[in-house]
Amino acid sequence: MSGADPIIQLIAAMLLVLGCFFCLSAAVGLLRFPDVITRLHAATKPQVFGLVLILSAIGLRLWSWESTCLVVLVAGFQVLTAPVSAHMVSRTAYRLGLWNANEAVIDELAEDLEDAGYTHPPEDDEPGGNLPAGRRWRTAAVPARPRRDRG
Amino acid sequence: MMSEEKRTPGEVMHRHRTRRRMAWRHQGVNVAFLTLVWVMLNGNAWPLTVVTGLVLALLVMWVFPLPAIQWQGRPRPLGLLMLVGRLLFDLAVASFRLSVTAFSRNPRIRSGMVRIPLGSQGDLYQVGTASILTIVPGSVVVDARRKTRTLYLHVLDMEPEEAQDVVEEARRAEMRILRAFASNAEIRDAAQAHDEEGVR
Repeated sequence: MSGADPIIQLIAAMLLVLGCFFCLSAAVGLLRFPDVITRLHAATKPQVFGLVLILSAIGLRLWSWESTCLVVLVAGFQVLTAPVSAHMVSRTAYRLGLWNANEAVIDELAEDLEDAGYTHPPEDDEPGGNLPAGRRWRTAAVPARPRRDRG
Repeated sequence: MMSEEKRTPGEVMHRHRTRRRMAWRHQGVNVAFLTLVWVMLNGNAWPLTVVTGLVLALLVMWVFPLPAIQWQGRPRPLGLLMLVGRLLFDLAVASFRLSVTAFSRNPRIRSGMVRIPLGSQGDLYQVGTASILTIVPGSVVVDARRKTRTLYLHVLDMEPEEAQDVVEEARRAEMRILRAFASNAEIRDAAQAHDEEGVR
């Protein structure tokens, strides 16, 4: 068995096509989903999975220790870092009000942020371009925020 | 973000020294790991590569020092295997569902933001759980609190009465992380905390 084996070649080719399909669906999701956070769903999962499939195809096709090591590294770091960037972007998006809060079926984060003393800035208070001011979150004045709610 | 009570200067110094000692013990693991990454990147284990990797690892540790993490657990090979296998499976399911949604004629998206109280204590477990929850079907971690060990998940498609199911699912993910990295006592404590939360 080696990378030149026709069966391995066939499997690698199928993995490549599947991987490309998932990357494509990630792109389509990015375009079609309604707000930042739902778009991040598309940007994390199918994108990472598509990349993992393409990488395994490469690993099978090249069939060497060097390429396998590289492929494992790339896949591992992708799985480790994609959630971190998704979290940073979605957290910012949430606090800037860049999501369909009115269509959400449940929002327990809003309840807890209100408990912690966060408020919505009044309309036309801050310059924010076309950001929806009513959904933006503003940190409470420091004395109003109890210490135990931090962190 | 951590709030610390008042301590005498002696206590502070002692804590500082202990932390530094622990830090150096962990640095060894970090240097070994960074060297391994370098060797894997190069695809060979010639002595020159290993030495270069060591030098680079020490340089990285010196330029970007990280605080030591508190970790009482140990790596468990079987749990780790289960974790990685389940992660790949979840990733496949999540990608399939999302591509169906992305290509559907009229994507129906009813999202929600759900609070997940974790049962475990420890930054490492919280970060690990948050990471795999972003990978598992239908959720992205939007916010996290360290003091109360809470995560906030954005769920792509849910009904209002499904919030409890989301919490259960997240706790199963947390238990998978614990079974891969935590000590027996920590696993027991977390399971107990989940049971108590469930009764409430």
